[in-house]
Amino acid sequence: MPAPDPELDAVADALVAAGAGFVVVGGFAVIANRFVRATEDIGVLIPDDEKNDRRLIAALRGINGVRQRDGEPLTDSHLHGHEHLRVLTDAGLVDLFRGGAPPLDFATVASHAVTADYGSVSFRVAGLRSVVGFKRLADRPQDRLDLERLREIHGELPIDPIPGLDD
Amino acid sequence: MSERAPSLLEPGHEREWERLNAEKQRLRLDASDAPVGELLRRGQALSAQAMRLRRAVEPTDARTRP
Repeated sequence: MPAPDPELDAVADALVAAGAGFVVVGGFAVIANRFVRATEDIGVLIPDDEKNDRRLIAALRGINGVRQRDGEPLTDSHLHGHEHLRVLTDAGLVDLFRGGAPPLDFATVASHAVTADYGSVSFRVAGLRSVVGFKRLADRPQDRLDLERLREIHGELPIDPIPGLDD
Repeated sequence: MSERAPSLLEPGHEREWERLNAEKQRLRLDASDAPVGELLRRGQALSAQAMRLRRAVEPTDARTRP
């Protein structure tokens, strides 16, 4: 069954209302950094924090989130201790990613984030140097295209060394 | 200090990424069967959403750009 198209405002509303800490990454972060393109899911970077995990799960349950791979209604155990969870919600597909090692850890990405002000709700979106780091790490065709377009828009891109990739 | 949870956002998880990307590709193909009019309507909605996000970060963008 196809996933509904992503509704960033609905997902952000739910996460903010639950008091969850998160930073939007993925295609929406590319858009926020001035390369406007469509995206089919909502990538969310999350800290390594059990209490926050529970808030995220409660928020996603509120928009009828189920685990995408088997359709199971969400439980805390689907996220706690896991590096990734893909959730199918009424507001589209949401990919939750645990932060990595610096500079792609949650604290560093959050410190470089920009704020999206949607009127009733504000939330953080990964800034350019973090987006560049994620794209360099993933290195799929779409990531390479994103980097090329971001370079055309911004000029020389900020590059932070990624352990294991640049050493 | 407690041990950090595992993360896919580090080198060395290529197989897991391949699996996730393939899964997303399957979802994308399912969605591409829609009639052209429906695809255009969805594209318009996604584009409008993208523009809304662009405008929503503009006030802070200039201050935080490296």
